Amino acid sequence: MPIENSRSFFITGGTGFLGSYLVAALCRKNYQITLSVRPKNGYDAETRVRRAAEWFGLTEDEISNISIGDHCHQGQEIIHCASDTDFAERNRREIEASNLQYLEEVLKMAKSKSASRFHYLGTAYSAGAVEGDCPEELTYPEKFTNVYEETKNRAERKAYDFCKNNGIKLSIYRPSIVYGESGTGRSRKFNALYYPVKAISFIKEIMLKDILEKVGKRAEALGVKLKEGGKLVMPIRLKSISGGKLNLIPVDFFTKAMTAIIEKNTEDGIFHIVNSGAGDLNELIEYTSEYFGIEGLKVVNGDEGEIKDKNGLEQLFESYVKMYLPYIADRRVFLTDRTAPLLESENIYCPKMNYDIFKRCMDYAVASGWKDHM
Amino acid sequence: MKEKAYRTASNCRHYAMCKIDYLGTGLCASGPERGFVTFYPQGRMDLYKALVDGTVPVTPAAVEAAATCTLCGICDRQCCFVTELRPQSVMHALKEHIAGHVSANGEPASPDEDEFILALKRITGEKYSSCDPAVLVCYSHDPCPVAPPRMPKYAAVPKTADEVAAIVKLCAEHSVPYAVRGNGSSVMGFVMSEGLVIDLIRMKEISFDERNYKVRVGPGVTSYELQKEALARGFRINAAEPAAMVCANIMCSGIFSLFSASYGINADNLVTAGFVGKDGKRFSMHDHDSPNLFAYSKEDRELPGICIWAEVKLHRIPEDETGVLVPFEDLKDAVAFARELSFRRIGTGIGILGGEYISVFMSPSIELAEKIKNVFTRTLKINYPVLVIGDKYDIEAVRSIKPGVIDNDLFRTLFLGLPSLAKPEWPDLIAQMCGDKKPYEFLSEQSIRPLIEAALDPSPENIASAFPEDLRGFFGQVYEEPAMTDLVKLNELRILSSRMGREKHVLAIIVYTPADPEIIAILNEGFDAIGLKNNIRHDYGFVTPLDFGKRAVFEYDYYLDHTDPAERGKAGAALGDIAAFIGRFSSEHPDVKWIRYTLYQGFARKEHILYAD
Repeated sequence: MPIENSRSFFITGGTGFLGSYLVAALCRKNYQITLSVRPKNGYDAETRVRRAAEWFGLTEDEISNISIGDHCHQGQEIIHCASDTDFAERNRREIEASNLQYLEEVLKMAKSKSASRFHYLGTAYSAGAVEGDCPEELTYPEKFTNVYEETKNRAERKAYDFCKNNGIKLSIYRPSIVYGESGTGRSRKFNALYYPVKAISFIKEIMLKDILEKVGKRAEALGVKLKEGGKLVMPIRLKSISGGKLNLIPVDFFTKAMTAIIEKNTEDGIFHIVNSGAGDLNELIEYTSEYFGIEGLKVVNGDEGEIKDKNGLEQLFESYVKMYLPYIADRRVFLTDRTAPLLESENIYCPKMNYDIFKRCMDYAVASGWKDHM
Repeated sequence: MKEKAYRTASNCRHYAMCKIDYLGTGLCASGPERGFVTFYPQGRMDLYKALVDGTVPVTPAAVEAAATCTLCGICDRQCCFVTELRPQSVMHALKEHIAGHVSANGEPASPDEDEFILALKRITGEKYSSCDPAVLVCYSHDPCPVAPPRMPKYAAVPKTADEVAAIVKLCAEHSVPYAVRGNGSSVMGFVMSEGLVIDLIRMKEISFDERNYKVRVGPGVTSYELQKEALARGFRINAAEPAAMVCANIMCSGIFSLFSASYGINADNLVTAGFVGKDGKRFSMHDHDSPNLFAYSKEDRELPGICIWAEVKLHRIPEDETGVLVPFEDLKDAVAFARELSFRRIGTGIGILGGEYISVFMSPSIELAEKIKNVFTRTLKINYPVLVIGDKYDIEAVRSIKPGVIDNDLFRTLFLGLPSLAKPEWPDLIAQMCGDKKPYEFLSEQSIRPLIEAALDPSPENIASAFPEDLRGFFGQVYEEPAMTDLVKLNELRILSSRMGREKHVLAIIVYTPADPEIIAILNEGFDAIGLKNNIRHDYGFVTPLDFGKRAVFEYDYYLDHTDPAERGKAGAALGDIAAFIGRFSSEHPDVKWIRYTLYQGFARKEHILYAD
């Protein structure tokens, strides 16, 4: 018989990418969980939860820790994971609705149900368009890179003010960019890190098809060539900036870290769940080139201005890079004064991305046909 | 097998596409030979269903209808292109049914003939008038949800205006009511009668007067036939649905199309027309003492006679004419843009299409259309593409107002690569890589074109792969023809528009409205709410600006399975709600006018319809 844990949580966004990992981890520790889940993609709430539980390999006993409900119980802790991670300004209305208006509803619920603690899943990037040290504190940047950062920052402040005014304890968790499991490569979602890699893989496939099955005129127009030995040359220059870093954390680290903080921390606080050994875009390009057997991917220093005479492939990546440049060439340094000692005391460290981890993650993504397991 | 044939027969939508040779296959030979719809695939489908239902017995005409089918397969190709139906299974079943009956019961006896039918036959000739139930049943119903079947006693297919005049006099003498029919493709229950149905399909005069930019058209000429002839001479007419008869179309509601943005509507489209009056006497619109058909009033009116010819305007076509699609995510933005073009006299044809329209038109199957609609609307955010047809100066102006258009080359790539576009990888790539750009803006980048072409592999074989296997070779050849993927040609000939009724019968609600984005958005929301309330499939159709952007014609569509009584009931209820909604709305906005009130006033001046109180 499992030992029932005395703490219980009401969790929003518990079937999302990070939320589901957290739910699985808390279930395994026999915490009682109430999940707020909507029907989606033709699945009702129960089915969505069941599918997620099966993917994580939870036992029936562990699953029995989960119940589904729209409201938290009196005195329960609330973990608010629900979020819209879209960056596009054109979708501002939907992003604000998800990241701000829904938060407000959940905060009101926390007050009416006398929630014992409010855990808010934010992002390290709520620091905004800044350079240098970003402390584990509320920040008031003048500019943001995009509507996502802006709404997540506003949300932190909203949660802080509300909890302070209503005597609710508040923890804010700020992960950086999260990818799959470092040990197994498994992942429920293939976004963020996976998008450009998937794009490279897809383009490689269609270029090879054009060269091998057609006359290859379209590949030629894009400057793509097949070298003797089978390597495909795809000339893509990606703009970066000097000194920029790419802060990636595997989802297993995120889960362990957040769970440990939930369990160990008793005070109000903001926690950066980030990689202290952040890599850079060059590494990622090196891994991608090696994994897919391609040449021609190159990082160029964008400090000197725009890339000239872009080919079609570069044009394709331009908008993506423009949007994600603040993340793939990031001059923000996320301080971990509060988080690091706590995680070290629990022996939790973030692995640095290397080719083996990259390969495991991409093997799993490719085997999944790049289809999310959501 | 029989069940499949019955299902297919029941699903004929009466769009009459088997009566025009739009794929270059030729027509079912017995149709033009005999005239009656019974001898076209459409009629044989109705006949088979009626025989199985026991609505009509096996008769000599039924035997003849079955015998004259050569099982050539033309109907399968034509119907599959538009509806995915395969009528040839019905033709086999019909032959089998008739053979079985004749073998058991012998040749059927001819129906009794009364004095009226004998007189009718004297006018038209023996072959072209009938009181045989197998003929009549094909004129007795259509998919309209509020028009119950009405079995006529007689049907005639006259050849000349003299014959029409004589028939009208005969009907007056015998007090026989009559309905006049072109191709019957209006499918709104207008062409049925308990008395005589006069089918004008044999009156196929087309006489060009190029010097005066007009063409005289008989009432049996379809829009497709006339447009083909006009195009061959370097002209264009403002044409409606391809299988609709030109005269019937003018008479019924007036012709409008995307070209109405410059060619106009109603009386704008013709020079004059000739009629056989109710007394059997002939008159022309331009006679001094003829009824004033230019006038419009908001009331149910009857035509003073049968239109037996019309002189339709011919328009010259610039050599550098082409088409572009200008994508919009929001309807109001699209309306504002189209209105601006119309106001500035940019473009010959302008229309704001919906995601449903463009995906259904382009896709050879229901399944593919559904996927493509998701790609266009959800991934690429092309909810309201504005189609503009114009010369190079027009298109330059369009590009300067709104860069990022889908030109005809890209349209052809998307069209011929449609099965590849439906696969998730490609749209996902665009959606994920477009950053803060709108996905459709990305699509139109010239430098990315080779990548799009490599990904979609556009070819006649690729689009043909969406058809059933046994027809792929044929459709591969059809799509070799550049006109099949040319925005201008597709809109001139409109051969794809009948695909609107492929999944379910379409009930089009059409209003004239100010070309005001706010008003059109409110109308759209209102129609949408009615569809939701009545649980009936529904979607935005199109908007075309009229008269230099002052007004617009707006179509909203509801869809029903006309073979399902429950769906017919829901559609009937929706029609009631629509009437009430338009009534309420037009009392606040008198310049919003339901086309229902222009019925049989298609010859009226547009100024009377659009602007007069």
